[in-house]
Amino acid sequence: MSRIVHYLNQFFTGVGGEDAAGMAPVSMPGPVGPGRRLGDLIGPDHEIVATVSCGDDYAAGVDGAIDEVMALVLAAEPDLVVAGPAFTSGRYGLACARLVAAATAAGVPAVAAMHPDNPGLEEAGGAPVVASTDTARGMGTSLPALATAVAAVAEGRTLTAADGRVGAVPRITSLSDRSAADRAVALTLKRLGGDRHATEVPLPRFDKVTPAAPVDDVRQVTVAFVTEGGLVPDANPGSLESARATRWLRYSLEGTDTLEPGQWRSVHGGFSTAWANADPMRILPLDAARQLEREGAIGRVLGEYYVTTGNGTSVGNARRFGIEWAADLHHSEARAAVLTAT
Amino acid sequence: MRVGAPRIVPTRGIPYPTGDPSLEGDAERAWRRRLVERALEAVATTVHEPTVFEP
Repeated sequence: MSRIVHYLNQFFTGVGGEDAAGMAPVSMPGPVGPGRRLGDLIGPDHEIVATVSCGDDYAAGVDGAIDEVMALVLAAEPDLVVAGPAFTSGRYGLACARLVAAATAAGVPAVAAMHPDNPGLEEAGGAPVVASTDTARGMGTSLPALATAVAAVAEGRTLTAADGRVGAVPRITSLSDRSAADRAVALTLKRLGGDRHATEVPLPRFDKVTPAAPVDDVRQVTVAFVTEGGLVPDANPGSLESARATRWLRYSLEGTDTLEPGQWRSVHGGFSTAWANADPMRILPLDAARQLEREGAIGRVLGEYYVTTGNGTSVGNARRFGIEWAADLHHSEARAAVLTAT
Repeated sequence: MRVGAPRIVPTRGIPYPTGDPSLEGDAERAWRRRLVERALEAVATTVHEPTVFEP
């Protein structure tokens, strides 16, 4: 009998919705919520011995959260770790993906389930993830697929697209008995034959973003300002990178009406920053925002702005920044955001 | 449009998204205000796909 530890967010363990999204990780004995059905589906050879659950904001936004989750997971001595299904939920998907990556790195077989469009998917690295439906309405079909994948992973099998695998597959170097020229011609012939998908180098997919609902009355709401223009206090206290950023930062705008040259600068390495440094409000329009705030055209300008450098940033990091910004802003009083892009 | 941002206000140059160094001080500030006003109109508008709000 193999011991399985199942990861679910605060919603699926019944702790609560957004009100409980800040919950620190907890461990519960046995299967919980959808884990009960999953336990039935994976049969008597496997047992869900514990369920670890964490709030979405905590899991996606707190440094070291996944280490804490992993500590609880490992305390239950798992042979295998299962996470999700996370459907298209961004923070939840991010947590599931990071957890299976961490478990795999620690030598514990793991598998997660989420929709291929889940923005957290890439965080799994090469750890196995299988497809789920887009929403929890598809739980009934997503769980059997996950159960099948669990059985395969437990047997030590490598999951493939035929198992519903999604996301990055670890690159394995192998020698082909056909030359590159041969294979290129063969692929061309396949294309000509109508196969639009045959490839040896799958391209990254870009997300389709569902637009947020509009704000009812912008005169009543707090508006956040966000930029990928690398604008920081002159000393760059957070060491924001000029390219390939791995982080984003927040700086206070409280009591500030204008951004003066010499006090702020752009560290962006992808364009000449001469104009931005001569007038930092060419990157972050604080004077206009304050004017509109005083006139009552907007409720308030959020007390901090968010910044990163959008220059050669990996899609994975950019996606993570987006998820973290959304979670952070969701917690702030802001109900709209203006992002200036260079 | 290609990256799929739902609401887009086009501006005049990569190095100065909320400015235009070719304008004199007051004219540049007025342009910046126009851009922010347009962005506020955009967040108050229902969209179903990437949509451009010309300033």
